[in-house]
Amino acid sequence: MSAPVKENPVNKYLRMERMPSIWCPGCGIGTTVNCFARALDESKIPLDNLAVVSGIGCTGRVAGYLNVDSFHTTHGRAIPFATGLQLARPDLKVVVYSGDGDLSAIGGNHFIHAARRNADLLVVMVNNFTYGMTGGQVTPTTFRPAIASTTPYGAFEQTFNMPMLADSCGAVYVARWTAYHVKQLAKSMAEAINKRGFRFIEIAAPCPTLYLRRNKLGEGLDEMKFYKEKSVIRNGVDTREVALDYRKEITVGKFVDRERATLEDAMDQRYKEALGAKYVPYVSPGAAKSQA
Amino acid sequence: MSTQVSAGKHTVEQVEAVTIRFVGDSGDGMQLTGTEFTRASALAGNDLATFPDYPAEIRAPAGSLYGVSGYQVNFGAREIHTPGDAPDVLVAMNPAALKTNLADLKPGGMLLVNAGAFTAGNLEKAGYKTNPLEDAALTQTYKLVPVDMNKLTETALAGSGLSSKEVARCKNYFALGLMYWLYSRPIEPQLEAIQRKFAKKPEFASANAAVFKAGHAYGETSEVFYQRYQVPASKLAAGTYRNVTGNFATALGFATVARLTGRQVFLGSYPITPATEILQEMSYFKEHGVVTYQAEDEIAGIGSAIGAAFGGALACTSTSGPGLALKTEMMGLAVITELPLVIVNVQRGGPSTGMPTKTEQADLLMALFGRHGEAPMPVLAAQSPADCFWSAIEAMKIATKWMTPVLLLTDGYLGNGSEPFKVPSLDELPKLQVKYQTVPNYADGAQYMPYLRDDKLVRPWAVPGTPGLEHRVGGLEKDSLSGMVSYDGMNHERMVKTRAQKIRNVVEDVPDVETFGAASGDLLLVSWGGTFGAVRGAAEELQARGKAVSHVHLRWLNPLPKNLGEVLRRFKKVFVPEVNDGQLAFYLRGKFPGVDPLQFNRINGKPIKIGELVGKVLEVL
Ligand SMILES: Cc1ncc(C[n+]2csc(CCOP(=O)(O)OP(=O)(O)O)c2C)c(N)n1
Ligand code: SF4
Ligand SMILES: [Mg+2]
Repeated sequence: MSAPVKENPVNKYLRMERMPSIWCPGCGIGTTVNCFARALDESKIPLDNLAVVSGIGCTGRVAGYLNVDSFHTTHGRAIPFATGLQLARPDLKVVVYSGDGDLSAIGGNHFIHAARRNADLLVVMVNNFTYGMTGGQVTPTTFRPAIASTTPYGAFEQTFNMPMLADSCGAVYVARWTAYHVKQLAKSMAEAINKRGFRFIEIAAPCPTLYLRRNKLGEGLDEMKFYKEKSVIRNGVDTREVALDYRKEITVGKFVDRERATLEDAMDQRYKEALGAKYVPYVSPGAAKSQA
Repeated sequence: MSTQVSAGKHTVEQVEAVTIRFVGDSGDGMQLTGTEFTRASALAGNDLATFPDYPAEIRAPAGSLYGVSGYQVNFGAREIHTPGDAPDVLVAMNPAALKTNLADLKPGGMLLVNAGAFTAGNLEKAGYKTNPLEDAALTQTYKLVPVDMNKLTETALAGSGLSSKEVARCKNYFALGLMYWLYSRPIEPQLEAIQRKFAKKPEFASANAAVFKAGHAYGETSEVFYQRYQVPASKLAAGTYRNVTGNFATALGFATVARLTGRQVFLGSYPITPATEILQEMSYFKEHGVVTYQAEDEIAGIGSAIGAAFGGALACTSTSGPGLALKTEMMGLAVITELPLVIVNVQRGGPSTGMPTKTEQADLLMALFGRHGEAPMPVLAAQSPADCFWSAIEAMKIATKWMTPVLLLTDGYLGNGSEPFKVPSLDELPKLQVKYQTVPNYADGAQYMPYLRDDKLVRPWAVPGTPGLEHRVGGLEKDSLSGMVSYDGMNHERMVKTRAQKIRNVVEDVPDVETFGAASGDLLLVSWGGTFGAVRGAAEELQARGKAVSHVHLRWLNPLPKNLGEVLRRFKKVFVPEVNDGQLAFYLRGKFPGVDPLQFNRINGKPIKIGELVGKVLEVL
């Protein structure tokens, strides 16, 4: 799914001059980007108000294919960067787009704190169950006993249930879809973009080159078929029950949707209460355009 | 130099400058006593410098040697460069404090001790077999004044209803009162300060005030002292002064940047000794448009700051050695994306956790070179506590003007030490303008090229959300114009060279070094950072002794001032004193072939002393 369909209404969101993309044939990342472009169309948010931040990895390259302001940070640090950007620019919608290794391993600590603080970010995690960019090593989301380049005898560590982690840390929106669920995913992304607070969407996506091939699971299309057959939509289900397992049923849906003061709102409110009129609420440099 | 004046019962001796060190158990309130006495000196118009010396263990057992906390202040009628070498007066609140500090006291100096704390138990904890106060040698070498402050405090608070523990905690005010008397300070401001400090606990306010007055009265009535001292006001330039620590001054500098520009100053940081106060102090400045963000670690601290900078904020991050190590990858990101950012490193004893409460200058080479890839950035170092204010503003000015991260080095000695800061008027502050790109800059206004540079090689700063200026930047090497990811080797080489040249161009904002003393001679002292005061003091003393010694202080470490090489070569010898194992000396050897500095290196957690440096220079002259 590297080259999007011609005449597609989402093309204006994508940097067509950069196509074809660097992704392998059958890779699920491109599919999620198409869904994201659809979501941008559906959500009607002005593109000037959107910034996309990514970490490092195959998924990290998403930022480069979108026709918006974007920043490609270092491995694992998209969330801290995005938090700073968001605090500096409350007028922006900031989206973090990255991989499972980036967000759950090296960036795991940032993930839980951003959720706890309710930083105003939409975090999209493409879970291909491996470190794609570096050649298919085991990640915190790899299932036992899948083969990875660093677990030639099969993975043996407990896997992360990322929706539960996000939920328990206080995320206000938690959903999981697969690359097969393009309609639901686009709708979910559109809904999440328009919400405030820490929003998390996990997308199970095929990495045919490394994960599927190494585990003799076929090609990208075979995996899509597997997602179709094994997925069960269970909206609102307790996130403790949504852990994934190797080749077992995949629980998808919107699990959490609630309201809570964002980091910035809580900060503002506290200062207002403590300092009253002395507090000078911060003016976003976004206002610079009208001044200059 | 001193003059005698008679005042009532006691004569008053006028002295030029005095160094006093207060030492006691960490629970004895020595930091408070020291800062209060310092404030009185500042009010009296003295120039001054202070040096708090914290114990490494916050909860060391009472009375133990490693639980001793100290505060040294040097104040005078003349210009004061350092907190002083050897104290003239040592106020020791217990045996452990005496044991760990006595060696520093000037022979003939006054030794005021709380004799009440010299109990068998405390003596044993300090490792004394016999009571040192009964040792004849002590009285022969020093002016020993034993005062049972425990008992006198109890007497002053008889019937106050306070528990004996609460009473014991007041005794530092006895010592303070006595010192006020000895140095002829008016007591009213202190009494008011006590009322303010304990406004919510009036019983403690009146207890501490009573003990303070008792200490003061003890000086007048006890017959122990035959004279008092007075240190006249110094001839500081007219203006409003405020005593500031280096960390406070740094925070104030950044807050001032918010005022000067009307833009957000964003600090992303994580607590670490001795840099924490910068984050703490800035957390108060919410009236000034400052946003502080205590991140989950140092990486997130700098990461959030780079995010804020991308968003258009004036971003900074503060830390100390171990935190700087964590930030290095992100510093590379700031270098390659060419975003403005100030990284403050308050150096401490390293490596690793090292000596967290002690000062050191051992991160110089890390600041200059400690990054992956070719990643030069401007580096400057503050030279005194008040100078941290100016350095913070200057660092931010350079960062925004040249679109680059800037590393500002201070150290524990500057960060915790204090001196009077002349509060500047608005027109004494540098002009600081923040310019964002708002229109496309290429193809007749049809396109935006984020790496299209001006004649100084500076790229434009466009903030996200500016219509028509959508752009992508990041850690991958970029095309030298469009900023798009580029794997072209020659493009990379061009970018590496261009980034380096841009940083070299910053030299146009680096003033030439000024030589203190003759323009040529036998020996040139070269210092950087927090050793400024000690080295300047040593130069003054050597010059007073007729030696052909001059002094050059480096504020900018990268780029180095244009005239430095020429100045170094005008002296027969170059001598570099540092609180590290010779990092500036190493750097100068590399930068100026043929220049081979002599070194004096102290790495004992303490600032260099003027006296010892003078001695070392005399050895090689
Ligand atoms: C500090 C650092 N450590 C390691 C790497 C190497 N690295 C780049 S991408 C990556 C893994 C990416 O995996 P994931 O986040 O799952 O993304 P994917 O490629 O699977 O989309 C690693 C380990 C790096 N770039 N930086
Ligand atoms: S390696 Fe895997 S994740 Fe990366 S582009 Fe190829 S298929 Fe996609
Ligand atoms: Mg992955």
